[in-house]
Amino acid sequence: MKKFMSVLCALVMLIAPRTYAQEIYGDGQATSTVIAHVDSQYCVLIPETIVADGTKYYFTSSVMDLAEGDVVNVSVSGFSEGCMLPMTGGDGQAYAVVETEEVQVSNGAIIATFHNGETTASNGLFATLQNATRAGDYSGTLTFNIQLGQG
Amino acid sequence: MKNKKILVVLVLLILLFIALIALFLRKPKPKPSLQPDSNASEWEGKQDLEKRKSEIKQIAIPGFDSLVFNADQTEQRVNFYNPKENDCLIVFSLHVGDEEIWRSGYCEPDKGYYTIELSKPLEKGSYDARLLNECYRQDGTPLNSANVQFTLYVQ
Repeated sequence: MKKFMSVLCALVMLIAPRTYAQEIYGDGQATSTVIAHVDSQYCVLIPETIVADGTKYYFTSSVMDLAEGDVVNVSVSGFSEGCMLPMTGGDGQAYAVVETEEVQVSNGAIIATFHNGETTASNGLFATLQNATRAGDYSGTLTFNIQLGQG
Repeated sequence: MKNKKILVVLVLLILLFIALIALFLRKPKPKPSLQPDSNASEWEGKQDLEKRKSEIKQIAIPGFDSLVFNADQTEQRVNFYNPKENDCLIVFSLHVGDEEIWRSGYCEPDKGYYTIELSKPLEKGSYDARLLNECYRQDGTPLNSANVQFTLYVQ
């Protein structure tokens, strides 16, 4: 009985289909598919501060290696009501309006988009002071939100 | 003799009188005539002038798409760093939803973190997360900040 079972097992092992992840052609060649994923990598440069003198700032990147269809979006937050950015300096308080070439920037607005390989975003960002009562240098800060998305 | 003296005084008085009349009747010297600048325009109010432009310094913010943590443990492996090209300090804080689960100290350029200790372990699942980069000058002046938004996979 043991011998019979051994022979039966051997036969089953010989007959059972082999499930290799490859195709074998008649000439003995084989191909297989190797799947690997490399994450998108990017590094966005943001301005240190917002200087409200009308200087245009273009977002740039030092690395923008994105998978097909991926984009990097930069949005912004930190505005008070009325889309005004609080500015300090000049011995007083003032507000600035931040704009791109197209629109006045508000919380959540996308202000720059990078595609694969792009080192400079097409939109420029600039700020202008609105109600400074004293002479001096005014500056303010924003929080930029950087997110990988689908283009 | 007396008449002669009177005559001399009279002549002197006449000369003095003539001198005074000449002084009053003298025409004033003409002042030099200044030519106005023909290049000057009619003043129509202030025009917008080019303003002094500032040189804007930048901060490099490395981004990533996702991060994988181990479930039910607080020690996790990461790659959070302040790039060497920056000249500011960065305080990193990791947020899952609205909750902060880790915060660094002031991280100098070219330094970073490979292992972090979360304030609490996470259960298996995927979460919307963000790494907040708060940037400061050495003197403590706050600079612009950046949120790197990503998906956190806990397995």
